[in-house]
Amino acid sequence: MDATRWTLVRSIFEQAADRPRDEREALLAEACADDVALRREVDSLLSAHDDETPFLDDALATAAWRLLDEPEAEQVGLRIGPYKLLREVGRGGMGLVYLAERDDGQFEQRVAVKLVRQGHLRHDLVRRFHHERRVLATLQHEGIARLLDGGVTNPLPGAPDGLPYLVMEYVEGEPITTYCDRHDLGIRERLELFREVCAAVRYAHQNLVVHRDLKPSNILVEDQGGGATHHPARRNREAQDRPEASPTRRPRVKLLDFGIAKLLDAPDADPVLTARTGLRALTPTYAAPEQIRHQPVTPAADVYALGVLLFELLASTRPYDVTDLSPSEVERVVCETEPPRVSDSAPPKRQRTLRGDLDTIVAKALRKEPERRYALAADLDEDIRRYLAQLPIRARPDTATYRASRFVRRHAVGVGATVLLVLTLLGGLLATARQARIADERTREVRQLAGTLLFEVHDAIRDLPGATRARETLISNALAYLDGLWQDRPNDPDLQHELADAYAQIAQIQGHPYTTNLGDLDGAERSYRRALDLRLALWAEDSTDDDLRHDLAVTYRDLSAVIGWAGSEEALPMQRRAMALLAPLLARDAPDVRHDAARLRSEYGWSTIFDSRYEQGLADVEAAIAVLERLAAQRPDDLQLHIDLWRAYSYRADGLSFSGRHEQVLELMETRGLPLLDRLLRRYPNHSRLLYGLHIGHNYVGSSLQGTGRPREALDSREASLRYAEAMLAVDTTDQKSQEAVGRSLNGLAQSYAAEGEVDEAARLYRRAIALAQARYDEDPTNIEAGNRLSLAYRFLCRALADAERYADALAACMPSIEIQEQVAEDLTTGVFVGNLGSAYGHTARIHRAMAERVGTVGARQHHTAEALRYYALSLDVLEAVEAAKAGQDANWEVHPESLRVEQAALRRAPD
Amino acid sequence: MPTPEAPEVTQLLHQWQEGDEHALDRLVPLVYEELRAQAHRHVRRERDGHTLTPTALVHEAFLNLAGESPVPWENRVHFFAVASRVMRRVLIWYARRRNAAKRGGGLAALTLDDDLALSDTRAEDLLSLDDALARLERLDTRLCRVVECRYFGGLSVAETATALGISPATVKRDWQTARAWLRRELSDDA
Repeated sequence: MDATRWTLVRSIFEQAADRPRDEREALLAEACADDVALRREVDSLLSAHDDETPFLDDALATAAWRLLDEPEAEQVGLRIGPYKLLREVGRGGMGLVYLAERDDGQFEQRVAVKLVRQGHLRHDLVRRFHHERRVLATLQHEGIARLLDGGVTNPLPGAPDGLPYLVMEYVEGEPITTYCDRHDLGIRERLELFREVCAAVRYAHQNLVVHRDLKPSNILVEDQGGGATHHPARRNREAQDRPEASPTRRPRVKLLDFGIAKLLDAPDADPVLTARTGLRALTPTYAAPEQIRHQPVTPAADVYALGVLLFELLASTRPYDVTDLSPSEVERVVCETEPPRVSDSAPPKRQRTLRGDLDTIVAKALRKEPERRYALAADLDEDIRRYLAQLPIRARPDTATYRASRFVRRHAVGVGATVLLVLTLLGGLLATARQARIADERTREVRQLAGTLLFEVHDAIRDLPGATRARETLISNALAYLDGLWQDRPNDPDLQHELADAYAQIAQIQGHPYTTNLGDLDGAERSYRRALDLRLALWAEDSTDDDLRHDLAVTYRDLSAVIGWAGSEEALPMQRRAMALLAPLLARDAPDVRHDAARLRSEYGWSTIFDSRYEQGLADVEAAIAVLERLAAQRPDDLQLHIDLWRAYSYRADGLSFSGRHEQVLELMETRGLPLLDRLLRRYPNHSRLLYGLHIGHNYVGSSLQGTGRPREALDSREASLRYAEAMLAVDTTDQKSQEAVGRSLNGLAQSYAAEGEVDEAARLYRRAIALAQARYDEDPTNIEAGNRLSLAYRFLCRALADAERYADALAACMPSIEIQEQVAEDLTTGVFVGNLGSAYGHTARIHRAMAERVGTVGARQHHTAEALRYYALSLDVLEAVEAAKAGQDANWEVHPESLRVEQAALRRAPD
Repeated sequence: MPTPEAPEVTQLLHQWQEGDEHALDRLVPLVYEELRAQAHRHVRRERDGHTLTPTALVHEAFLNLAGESPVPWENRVHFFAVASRVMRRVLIWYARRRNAAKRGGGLAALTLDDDLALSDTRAEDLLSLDDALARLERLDTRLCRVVECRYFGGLSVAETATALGISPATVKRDWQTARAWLRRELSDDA
């Protein structure tokens, strides 16, 4: 039945169904007339409608809910690595936990396997996952359930990637709160148990690992022998009555999931994609205010969670009840409400004991601002020790002034304070590291800085407005620390690995051209070179390590990107070296390696294109595109891969347009480049790199159309290019790259209009570009690049107006160009800016000359001729100096000095 | 540069609303997992005498998925619609499995309590219903959505109206028509 027919059936049925049965006939007779089939259709529906036996009455939802809870039998019995899953023992926001055993005959071991069910780790995060897993695996403390193993499962059929899994020591115990209540422990016993928790957390903090998700279900008490029976204190008491009771062993506290929250919540390598996944499974009751607000997390977050736990242990209730609150209410309660005193919340018989020192200790652990809490678990532990030993505690109660000032500062707290804390911590580590011998155990703890805390803080603050200064401080502190280690020339390979990782990561933050960076190319080069040196030294020792081979190749690639950006000739050989390193790994056919290798080849091709060897460069880029396209078809969810494919397209477009093949550029962009980006943008709306790609892509199309003599058609593409640039700017009005993109589009579009003779439209667009450039220059008058661009923007306008013979307007536009260029050229010795000043003078000279030829009165003509000659002289002064400095090299003149000399001579010869 | 902080689920919902069917494919496992987690928590509680109200659970599942960021109301109600579709898939999946077991597919019999069980007849009914719904969807997509929300998702008329962005009166009329159509189809089959 087609849609029209159905609409008709439906409408007749609905009208008839609303009426009593005996009134339907007239309606049906009229509506169906002699369409027998229609009548039959409607009648059958009506009789079904009139059937009153139950049908679809009980919503099945309830049954569905119960079915949902069915244990997923099919997982059990599966093997993950050498582990066989025995049964499900728990599930949470992150996934399922299974009891498993190792059954590869090596040794018997019962373990817990945590299978992350939600969200796949994209392959670019897998390496980070492994790195952090290595760090966590070094935690060895009796109070911490060990992370034994972990990895990524083989992809399931149809799934793009495998699931990450973690293998942990299996702990049989009960949550500390349940344990305390079940054994009816007294305050002192509770505190002693709590100190064991602190000891484990303290150890982790010394290793720069923050738990981030401490809560009773992650803090288990294991009874040693005798199963879950008696707490020793109770048992001792009972033992007096029952002398046959066996000697007791201490219950042991075990912390689970150390650092796992972060491991599974690793921020994307791509800043724009740091979308939080549903897998972030914080428990709001125990989450610190800074966690709730997604601010940087430090050990003080664990101290907060310990504070909540301590509160709960002492008062048998929690400081806040957030169970049924909406997220914004949770934020308000956790971040703004003062917690009650623990003594006031406790059962009456405990209140007296808690009042005073314990109130103060708990309050200090629960403070809203991380820097006002105990900085580390060790400090909290120390105060409890002092309390138990009846020594004066260190914490002081909040004063009234403090409370008042807190009220004011509440909303200002954020980046600054937390960063400060981390820096302090770094400072302390630095001092310790200098004192300690390098191969010392202490250094093993310290080196994790690079892998964890530093990058955690950096990632957290990266996108906050005004964080640049903090980021710079962070990086320079971290560098000072790394350089300290470097100078001692460590010969411990593990440490060398870590140092290399750290330098490479810092380099990326400093200035990798393809990511958000601090724009410090020199610093990035230096750090990459250190990473390279370290990795080369390791390679000399062991050239069988495939991971190292991969790392080495990536270091060469990244270093070449940095120095290639600055135009170094060293870049090409480095890229060749990187490709040679990756080649043997390709045999393994791992998609990651193929991706990296293809990306490398495309970058190599691009460098070759920039070396003016177009054919050769294009061949490499095209080969890379073929691989990337194949991979992209297999991995539709891998954004980085698709972006790299787009970059390869854009390299090809460069090669084609440099060698004048505009038609091919058009075809490439219209059939492959732009459709790819459009598709991605639908999935990732407002993704800035995609918007940027579309901006560039339409620009390619625009210039190609212009280049093939179709300026009218070019207009549409340039408009599109501008739209995408504006969309980028709308996402972040302060982003320099977006501002430049808008400027570029405006100028391109204006040029097209000017070429079409629509000067007014061109001038309007140029003026917008000027306003934009002006705003940037105003923002930072010491930014000479910005000044230079502003001056250039005026010159574009000036030239368009002069071409349209609107000389007075053109002159008005030339004056600011000169003025600004003089300001920028003043503090400069580099040729390009001075040369631009020469060009500005030259344009002015030409405008005056043209005016001299056209104006009527003798006086005016004399004036313009004199002005023209003056500007020709000024211009040639500057340009000839540049010419001399270039010493015969071919310079890219905006205005060629030779033509100026000819014009000047002609004007001198001309009769008045 | 500010990052889109909206959690994955809200982004996907948005894309789905915009007509990107891939987004639904990515939503379903996400929603499925969260619904499972909710079910696990609540079915346990139910055994202690608490009643299970599907809508409340869907609300809760959504809050968990959407995280701490503020969420437009439309997202929430669209989530209801997705949850209802997930429920349909869950039930059908079990019904299939059950049928396979009966035909000697080798799976152990499901140990569901009788009162909530998918009895054998019910499993078969469900599969025919699912087929009929698929046909209805081709004829009139909205009717199919309404059945999903009302029957599989357990949403009230008002909730269904919000979830699908139509008026309650329309939901009532659609529900009536869909029921009549399905009843006829299923009796034809018999």
